[in-house]
Parts: sequence; structure tokens; C-alpha cells
Amino acid sequence: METLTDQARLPILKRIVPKLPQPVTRFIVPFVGITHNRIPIEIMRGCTRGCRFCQAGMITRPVRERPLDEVVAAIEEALAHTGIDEVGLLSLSSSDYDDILPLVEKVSERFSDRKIKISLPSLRIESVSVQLMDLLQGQSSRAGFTLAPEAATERMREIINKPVSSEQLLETAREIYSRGWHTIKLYFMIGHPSETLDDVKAIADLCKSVLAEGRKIIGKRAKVHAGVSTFIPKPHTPFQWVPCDSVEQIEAKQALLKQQLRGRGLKLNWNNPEETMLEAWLSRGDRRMSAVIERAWQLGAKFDAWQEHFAYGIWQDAFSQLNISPDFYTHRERPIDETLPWDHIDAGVKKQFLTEDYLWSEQGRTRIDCRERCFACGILPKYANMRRENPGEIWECPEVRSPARKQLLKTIPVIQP
Amino acid sequence: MTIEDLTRYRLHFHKTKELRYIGHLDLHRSIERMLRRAELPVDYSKGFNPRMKLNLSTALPLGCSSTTELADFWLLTDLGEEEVFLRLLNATPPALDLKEVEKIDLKSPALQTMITGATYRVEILESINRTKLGEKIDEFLRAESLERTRRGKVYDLRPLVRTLEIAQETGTHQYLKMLLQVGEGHTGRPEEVLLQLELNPANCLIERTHLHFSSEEQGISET
Repeated sequence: METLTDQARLPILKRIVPKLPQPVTRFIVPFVGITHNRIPIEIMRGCTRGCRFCQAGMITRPVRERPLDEVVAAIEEALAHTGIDEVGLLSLSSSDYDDILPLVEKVSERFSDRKIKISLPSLRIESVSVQLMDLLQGQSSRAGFTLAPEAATERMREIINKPVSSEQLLETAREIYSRGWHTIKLYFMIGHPSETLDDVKAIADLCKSVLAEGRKIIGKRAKVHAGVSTFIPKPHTPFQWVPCDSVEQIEAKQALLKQQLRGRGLKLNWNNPEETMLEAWLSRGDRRMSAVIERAWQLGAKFDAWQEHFAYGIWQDAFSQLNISPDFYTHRERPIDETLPWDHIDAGVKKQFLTEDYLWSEQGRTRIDCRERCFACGILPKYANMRRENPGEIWECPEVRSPARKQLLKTIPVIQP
Repeated sequence: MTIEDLTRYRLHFHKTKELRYIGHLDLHRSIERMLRRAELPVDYSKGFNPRMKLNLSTALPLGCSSTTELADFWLLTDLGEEEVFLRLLNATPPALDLKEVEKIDLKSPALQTMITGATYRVEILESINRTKLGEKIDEFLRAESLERTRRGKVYDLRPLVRTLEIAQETGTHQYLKMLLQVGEGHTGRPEEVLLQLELNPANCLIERTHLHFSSEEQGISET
């Protein structure tokens, strides 16, 4: 890569804040209805779980938490400034916020009689999550409870490093149905590395098992909505080298699900495989992709995210006119030593760590929550000074012992008695 | 909290400037937010999905401004007109001009059932022959019925228009004044009147200037 100035050094290391900045509490309040029409308060940035498909979990490290009092004060302030009646407590994995129970207790005690709706997305599959939602939602309507097992067999969950047992899921489901929710939304992905049709069929079986638990508790009112999206490997993750499914493979898997997930109480949502391909090309493309994008635009591609405007053929034409194979970006297992188009960007996590994690996934080896044990992903050495200056619980990473202090000790003259 | 503490307030406000492009439901939500920003002890409906008790007067057609909008809400604690007004004054969204807060009898009927008519003033922004316009108005008023189609439904516009006249000239433009019927299923729309007069509503500024209550019914013919 050509550098325009000497000051530019490759790779470019991401900049981070040592401590989350104050949340925005004065913002534009639109007159018309918008999506996500709520006050967003970020309670935590980053995630310690290390799911291998998750780009956010890899690039937002280290995990930094916002202190509980600051969260409550921010909600109070934003409500006073905006008058909006809904608050979203945001993070990649809300259950992992250290003070989640005290936070939820405090928030529900303080805001429930003011008719403020509090939402808490990204809860883990465990009964504590149900208690949390119970506290937050009070008597309000219980539309649906969302859980994201992502895969339905233990083997797949080990590959993606999201080890949740099916029994744990069923137990959580029982808890949800018995506490007044009628609908459970389950999010899965198809197309994980080495997935077979048996793994896909297990998704349908698991949905049916969850529904069966619901039937036992609330009868025919029980519902399961399965949202099955297609996995697209992302840069800066342990899966950045893996091929993704072809349109034909995806269609076969979706056909199986459509055939299996029928009947009362079951609903299935899926993604259009051709739209998935576009996302996949854009996700791991290189600089030649910009020519493809320009050509597709010249050929009439516009508003591609709107189903009625999306034209797969245009994109295929753009690739073929430029003599570029789309499969080069999507259906090829990339060698570990290949220079990747995003290697000049350093997200703080070492490539060596991603490589090791990729190899571990092939062996079905999992990693536990990195709060329990540091796996040396590379964040700490890169931001050691920052961590040293910001000790304590504001980061989930271990503290850095200060070499400066060691030196100091050495130079302190020993006082003779 | 006892029932005796419950008080009903009526808000008088103008809907001006950019707010004319905001529809009825969005305005409703904006006022809900305003009441919450003002930190008033507003009453909510009971049940699983409590909703703020807030009644707006008859919907203003999109694109019209108004100097005569009303909204009723209920407070669990009586704070007094002045305190409520002051709190709201610091919480209004842009282009909503707060004019007055008035305590209303709890037993007073719902706003929507009380309003039977609305007066609109229309500024015609294009140059137009006053005599010809006058003739069209005469023709309009002479008609027994005026069949129009709106959203695929045929209806008679004539009985929905109580008065229609060229207003006093105050500038370079011509003004119309009209009093239209308000009521469920028989509400006159000002732009329909303009279309019937072969005027383009897009070249007119429409403002609602008065709401007529059933109690003042007798005075209406003079308006």
C-alpha cells in the first residue's frame, strides 16, 4: 500500500476511549414516528463471550462498563429533556453487565409508575434473564421474549463458541411461558462452518421442543417464532477465512426448515439468499469491489436494501463485465497466510489470536468467558498504558502491573536502620 | 391519591409554521412528550397497556395551520392553572404556541363530541379575478347538492359548508372565509371546497381560526 505521508504508519491502530463518554441525553426529538423510537443508553461496550462469528465482540474490545449511577442519571436526564417514554439499555450482552440485577431493580423501582417502558435486549439463555424481564416489564403486555441460541446442536455451538445446552434453553423457555409470555422468538443462523443438513434439521426440532414445553404450560396459546438468518463471515473475526454457503446450499437448508417448521404456533423468517450474497461480497471484498459497486450503480443498482429494488442480475453482470469472480470473495477457504484486504487495520486483537481461535473451532474447542481467564487476545499489550492509567473495574480486562512503579521501587534508596 | 384530586385541564394552543406538516397522530404523541417533559402528574388509562389520557380537538387537515387548537388532559394532583402553564411553557416543541391553560369541569363532555363546526381562513397565493371568484362562490352556495369523490367515496359537499365568503381584503392576496361542519362522518374539508371552486389547494395557505361548540350553536349563523 502506498502511503501519502510519512506520519501514516501501517497498520492503523483503532483509537479507543478508556472510559465510556457521557451518554447523549439531549437529542433531536422527531415529530414523526421513527424506528428505534426510544432513548438509547449504552450500559456496556464490548463482550467477553467471544462468539466466533461476532464482529462486534471482536472489534469493540476491551469491555468497558458504565457505572450504574451514571446509567440511572442518564435515563433521568434524557427523560426530562425529551419526554420519550421508552428507554433501551444497550449492550452486546446485557446479562453480563456486572450490576445487572441492581440496575434493573433500581430502574424498575424508579420509572415503572411513570409508565416508562424499559427494554433490555441481548439477554443470555438462562432463567435469570426471565427474572430481569419480569422486573422490568411489570404488568405491561408481554409480546415476545427473544433468545438467540444461534445454533441447535452442541457440536455447532462448540464450533461457534456459544456453548449453551439445549436443556438450558428448554428450562429458560419453561420459565418464560410460565411467567406470562406467549411467544418466544428464537434467533438462529444457518451456514456456520462445517454445518450439515442434520444440524439444520436440529433447528426445527429444537423449535418444536420449545413449543412443546409451551404447550404443556399454557396450551395452544404458545408460539415459537424462528428467525433464521444466514451466516456471513466477517473481517477481524476468527471466521474471516471461512467460505460461506452458496445460494444453492442456502436454498436447500431453507427448504428443509420451511418443510419442517409448519403448523400451529410455529413461524419461520429467513433471508433472501441472493441478498445474503451481496452482503457477503461487500463484507470481505477488496479494493476491486469499488469498481464493482460503481459498475452496478451504472447498470441501475439502487436502494438495494429494499426488496423491490434489489436486482441480483445487475450485480452478477457488474462482476462479469469487470472479469472478477464473486466466488473469490465468498466461496473460497482463504489460506491462513493470505494477506487479507483489511490487514492494514488493527482492531487491537492479534491476528495470531484469531488464527488460534479459528483452529480451535475446527477442533470444537471452546473458550470460557474471558472475565474468568484472559486468553491474551492482544488488547492489553496494545493499550497497556491506557489500562495502567485507568485501573479498577471500568475495564473487564486484568489490570496491568506498572513497570513504571517497579522501576521506582528499584531507585528508592534503602533506608538503613 | 383520592378521586377528588383529579382535575381536568384544557390546553389552548396554536399550530404554526413547520408544525402544519405534522399529522394528527404525530401531534398527539408530541403533546404526550411535552406533558412528560413538563413533569406533570398526568393520569393514564388503566389496564395492561396504560395510555396517557389526552383528548385532542377535531383533527386538523395536514398542511393547515391553526390558531384555535385544544387538548384535554387530566392531572392526579391539582397544581393550579398558573403552575401547569408555566411548566408547559418550558416544554413546548417548536411551532407549538401555548396560549392558555384552563381548568375544566370533570363532567364536561368529551371535546370531540362538543365541536360541531370549524372556521377556516384561506389566503390565495396566486392572483385571481375577484369577480369571477365571487361568481363561483355564489354558484356554490346556490347549489342544492355538490357531489364529490374523495378516496373513492362519493359524498355531498354542499351540506358540510355552512358559510363561504370572500373575506375583507388586507393585502395583495384574496382571502376566503368558510365555516364547515364538524362531526363524525360529516366533516367538511377546506381543500375540498377549494377544489370545488377550481382553486389549487397547493397555492393556498389554510388556517383554522375558530372551533364552534354545540353550546354556542345559536351564534353560528352570524359567524
